[in-house]
Parts: sequence; structure tokens; C-alpha cells
Amino acid sequence: MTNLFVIISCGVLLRTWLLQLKDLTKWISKRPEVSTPQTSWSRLVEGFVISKQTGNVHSGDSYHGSTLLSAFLFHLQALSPLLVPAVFIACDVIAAISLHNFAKKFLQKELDDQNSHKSKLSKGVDSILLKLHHLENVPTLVALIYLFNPFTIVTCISQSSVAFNNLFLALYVAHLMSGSSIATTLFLALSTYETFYPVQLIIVAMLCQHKYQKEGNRNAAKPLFCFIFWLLILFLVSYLREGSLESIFSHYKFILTVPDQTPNIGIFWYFFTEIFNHFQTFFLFVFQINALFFFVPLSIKLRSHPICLMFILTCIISTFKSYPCVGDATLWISMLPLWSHTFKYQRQPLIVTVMLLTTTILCPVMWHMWIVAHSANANFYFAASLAYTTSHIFIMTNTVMAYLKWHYHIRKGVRLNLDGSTEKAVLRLMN
Amino acid sequence: MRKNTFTLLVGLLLISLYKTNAVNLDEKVTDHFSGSRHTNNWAVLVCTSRFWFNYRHIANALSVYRSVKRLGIPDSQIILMLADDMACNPRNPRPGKVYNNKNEAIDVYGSDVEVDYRGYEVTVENFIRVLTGRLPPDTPRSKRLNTDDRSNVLVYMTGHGGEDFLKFQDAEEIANVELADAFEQMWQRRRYNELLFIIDTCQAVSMFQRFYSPNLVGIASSQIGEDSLSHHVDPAIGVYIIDRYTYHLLEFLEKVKPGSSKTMQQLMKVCPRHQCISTPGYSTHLFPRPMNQTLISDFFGSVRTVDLSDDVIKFKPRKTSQGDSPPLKTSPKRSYFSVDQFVSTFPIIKKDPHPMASSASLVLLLIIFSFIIRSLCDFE
Repeated sequence: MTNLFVIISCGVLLRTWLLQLKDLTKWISKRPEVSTPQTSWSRLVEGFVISKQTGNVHSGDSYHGSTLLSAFLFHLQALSPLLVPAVFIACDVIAAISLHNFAKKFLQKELDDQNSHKSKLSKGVDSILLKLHHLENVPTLVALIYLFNPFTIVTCISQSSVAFNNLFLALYVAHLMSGSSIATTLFLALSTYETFYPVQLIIVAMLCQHKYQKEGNRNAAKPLFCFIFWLLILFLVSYLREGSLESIFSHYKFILTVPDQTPNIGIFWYFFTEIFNHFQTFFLFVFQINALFFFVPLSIKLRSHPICLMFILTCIISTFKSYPCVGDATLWISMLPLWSHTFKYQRQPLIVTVMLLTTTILCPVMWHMWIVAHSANANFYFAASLAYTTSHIFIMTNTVMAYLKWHYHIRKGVRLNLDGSTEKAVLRLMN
Repeated sequence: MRKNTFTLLVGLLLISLYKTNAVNLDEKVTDHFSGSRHTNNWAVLVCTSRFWFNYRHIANALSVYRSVKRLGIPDSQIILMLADDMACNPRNPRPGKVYNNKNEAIDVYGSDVEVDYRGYEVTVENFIRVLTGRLPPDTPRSKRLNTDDRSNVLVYMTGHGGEDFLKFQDAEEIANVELADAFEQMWQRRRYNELLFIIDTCQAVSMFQRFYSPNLVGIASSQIGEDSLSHHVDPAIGVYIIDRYTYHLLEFLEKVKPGSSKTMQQLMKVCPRHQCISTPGYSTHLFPRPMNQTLISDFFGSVRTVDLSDDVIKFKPRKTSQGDSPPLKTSPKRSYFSVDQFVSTFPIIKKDPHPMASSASLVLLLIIFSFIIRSLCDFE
């Protein structure tokens, strides 16, 4: 607990120090990797001012986030300009605490699961089992990584609304294990209301309800109804505020039809700048299905591991959504230590980690070469962001595969021969 | 009774005298110069030669262009086609200037020249398209010959020619039958009232021998079998800078002022054989009016006939199918000093939010906060 307190206070101090460097915050909030048309703070301010004239916060085609968030943040700003950075720091802190709590609960459950199935485990697998020291270290590590991840810090000081998205998703995962489907679905509904893609995570809530709750409470449809209820409440409140549903429709239309092709670290913009108009609808469907469809096969495969499903769905959302930024990635990167006991079965972890670091640094360099120095072009930047996306994909597939392999190996043994026996095979070289 | 008849007779006599005076004046005027029906003047000036050593052809065309402009035809009604650029040619020791005389007194290029077809755009096809008006729809006005049936057109061509043909750009030729057919197309589409065709090339007369459309006059600088020769070299520039016929034509035109009463017959006396070395040829059999009664300014200038009248003419409102044309509305003049004054005149189409909106959003906010705080308490 004291560890957590120390980490949180260090994180808060770091953020307050960085926030008062005005040049840095101004520069960072302009970077395409950090702020997208959906999340940018300056766009939010502009949208709110426009909404005073026309009543619809999306009517200027500038702000593309949700109406309630813009109203909340702008009223905070009106109360006091210092409140807004404080709220963003609070978002980070609460998210870190939620993730810490979630990690503790999850690992406890996994340990209990493991201990209850001790009879099914093979001999000699002790080295790879989940242990108590995991339970002690991993939650602190999760909070540490979340708070001190440069992606999170950058999102916080640029006042990008991804911080709220991360907060809601962190609270959602924290409540997944607790069984209160009302709380879980409230935060999931808030996250879906802001960006459309987390709607896939309702499957996770239903599977968790099925797996982690007591016998009497196992109504898998309960999260679904609660989710729809909360979503309707949110739509109702925004309808009351604005007088029409036009704003909500335009918000979702922006996410789904991707009209804005300003460069970001995603995969949409480059493709849609160059395709012919008559293919646009087709490829729009293809790209959105790519982002929205994976939950079907994954939930079938990972139905007994809902948290792993949640992890990989979060990765897929943050990588394949229409306007991603680095703040989207920070949530699942901080969840990686949860599977530290399976890292033995990851393939080329060093290469993939270094790839992520390199591409993170390469993207701004390519941007500078393209936009400022005029010595590169869009292909350079897109290649760097494509490599960044690929590193994400490698990390998420590695992690999930390692997890599944771990589950296999603890039943079948650490060393395996081709025929399944655990005897050693010796190769003798002919002279 | 007698007094009345006497005054009536005197009055009638005076009136008849007055009337005869007026009639005599009109007849005098019209007797001397046969009036032309045209209301506007156009010119198509074509130089078909390229390369530095054909400097003189460019100078020919530009000199006629300058004269025609001076005499009143506006640039919008002149199509100038120059097959090469001498003014900015790297071999031109007088960059940006083209001279037609070795005294280099007049720069016929100048800063207000408007070349409509330049360089490789001067082709037989473009020339015929310009004459007949069969141009692609996106052709700009400056490249169109927008003549009507009351336009007098001057067509001046210069370059290298032979018997029955004129060379364009060293690559193609226009035949005299093609030219005659183009003019016939113009006549059939009522694209000219009268047309003066001047050509300064070798064996120039062959080019108008096949004309068959009405209201055409042709002037050529040499007969068949003769060569039109150049006039003189400018040693500072290094090439022949003007042709003989055009040199003398310009000498003649320099003395012509807008509104001059010089006739076409005087124009046809320009450059006799001893001056031109070649014999100029003329074709007037297709022209209805006699040459000594046709003014040069019918073709070279843009003279408007003005009728003075003391009558008062009242303009009535135009009757349209929807009734009378609407009266002019004069809106009150307002001046704005900044954008927001202007913007505030726009109607604000904002819908009033529901009265419960703020309370509903506050309630929602409280719910969310309570959940967050509850979860935090649960965590610790």
C-alpha cells in the first residue's frame, strides 16, 4: 500500500511539474500521435464555443468527441482554469488505483483457480506456476507502469480526452471481478458513448459474470441489459441538453465513416487518402469489420479466460480503431505484467519490445522530416506508424499465445517430446 | 383667304426646300462613300513561320497588328497567331523587342501585345477552327473569333508559300481550296459581313484564286511564279526584319488616321512592281461595292457610324412573360466595421435545451462520481 502511495505521489508530482512547462504542453498537444480529431483539447474548446451559437457541439466539424464530456470539461474550465489539469491528473491516479486493484483481484482469482485444480497439473511444472510473489509485486508494477508510461504522461499533459476513456475502461475492468454488473456496465457505457469501439467488451462482462459469480447470480444477460440501460440514460441526457439526437448521430458517424484523413498513428488515413471514391464504402466496411469483428472468434476461443479476452480486445481496439493515439495503447501495455508468469513462452520478446520503442521514437522523427524539413513524404510517416502498429500486434498475439501455451504446459508438463512423453530424446551424430 | 393660301404656299415651299436640303445632304454623303452594313471589326493576323531566320514574318504580322490596334480594333477582337517567339528568342540581341525597321524606331512587340495562338498552337487545324468557329467548348474567348453577320473581318497571313499552298511551321500546309472552303463555311454560318484577305508570301495570288464565297476581297504580294522578297537587313540583329510588301503597306498605313477617308483603291496602289520587285495581285470580283468607294477603315479600323438625333426616346419597362420587369429595389445601405457585427445579424438557430437538461446532467454526474468514489473506497 505504501508502495502504491509513493508511486502515486511521484506520478502526481511529475505531472504537475510537466504541466507548468507551457511550451512543452503546447507542443505536445499539437502532435498527431497524441491528439486526434476526437480527443484534442483545442478542438473541444472550439466545439463548445460553436455550440453556444448553434446548439450542436459537432456543427463546426471541429470537435468530434461526445457532448457530455465537452460540457463537463468546459464547465470545469469556466469554474477555474486550474481544475482541468487537476481533473486529468486525477483521472490518471484513479485509473492507476483501479488497475492496481484489478491486478490484485485477478491474480488472486487465478491463484485460487490454480490451487483448486492442482490435481490436473502435471509434474515438474512448479517453475512456471503462479506464485505468491507474483501477487505481491505485479499489482504495484501495473500501477507503476501505468503512471510512468510516457504515453500516459503525454496524454495527461496534452489534456487529450483519451485519459477519460482510459479511466472508464480501467474502472470497468476493476469492477469486472467484483460482480457488480451495474458499475461495470456504467463505465463501459461511458467508454462506448465516448468512442464506439469498446462496445465489444460487453461480451467480456457477460463471460465474467458467468465465470466469477456465485451460482445464484449467474445471469449472463444481466450485464447486457444494464449496459443498454446506461447507454440509453446517457443518450437521454445528451438529448435533453442539445434538443436533438443529431449530435450523437454525427459523433458516431464521424467514428464509423472516418471522414477526416489527417495523419495519425493509425492505419485508416493513408489508405483512405489514396483509394478511388467508388471503393470508399467497401473499404470502409472492410476496415471497420477488421476493428469490430475479432471479438466473435476470440470470445469463442477464450470463453473460459475472459480477462485474457478483455486484454486482447483492448489491444485490438486501440490498434485498429479509426483515430488511435498513443494514449489508447497505454492501458493494455500496463496490463502486460499480469502475464509475467507466461513470459517464458513468448516468442522473440526482445525484438518486439525494441520494435515498439524504436517505432515510438521513429514516428515523430519521420513527422519532422515530412512536415517540417520537407525531405520526406507521407510514406515515411505511414511506414513508421505501420511498424508501430505491427509491434502492437506482435505483442498482443505473443502474450495471448504465451498465456494459452502456459495453460497447456501446466497440464502437460514443461518439457515435451513429439509424441507427448517426457523422456529425453538424444540425437547422435554420425561420423 | 388669299393671305392664308399665300402663307400656306410659302410654308410648303420652305418645308420642301428644307426637306430637299436634307435629302441632298444625305445623298451627298452616301453618294460619295457607299455605306457598309458592318457594325464591328475583327482581325485575324497569322504568321506561319518558325525559326530565327524567319524573323521578318513575325515582324510583318506584329506590324499589321500594331497598325490595326492603332486604328481602333480592340485586342478582344484581334486573333494574333505567331508561330514562334522572336522577342524572347535567345538569339535576339534586343531581348523583349521586335523591330520592323533597321532604324529600330518602333518596337512592334511592346508591353501590351496579346498573342492568342503561340508557338506550336499555330496549326492549320487551329486556324481553320478559329475561322469556322468549330472550337472545343472550353476554348477561352480570347481564342475565339466571335464574329457575326455584321462583322468585317481582316485576315492577314504571312510566311512561306508556294503555288496553291501556304506552309505552316515547316510541318504542314494549307491549300488554297481549304482556305476557300473555310471562308465558304464562314459565309454559310454568317460569320462575316465582308472579308479582306491580305497575304504576303511567295506566289501569293494562288491562295485567293479559288475563293467562291461572296463579299471577299483578296490582296496578294506576288503573282504565281514570282517570289515576294524581303526588304532589308538590320545588321545589329542579323536577319532580314521586314518584307517588301508589308513594309510599303505599313508606310501607307502609318499615314492613315482613325476615321480617315482613304479608299481601298488607294490601298491597292501600294507597292507597285518597281518597289516590290514582285507584282501584287488583287481579287475584287466577289465584292459588291466598288473599291474606290470602300473605305480602308471598313477593314483596318473600328469605326462606328454615329447617328445624331434630336428626338427624345422614352424607354418603357420591358414586358416579359411574367408581367412587367420588377422595379429596382434599393436596400438601405449599412456599413459594418467588424465581423461580429455582421455575424450577429444571422439568426441563431439554436434550439432551447429542455428545462430538465441541466438537472439531468447534474444527476448523471453525481451518479458517476458516486460510483467512482465507491469503487475507490472498495479498493482501499
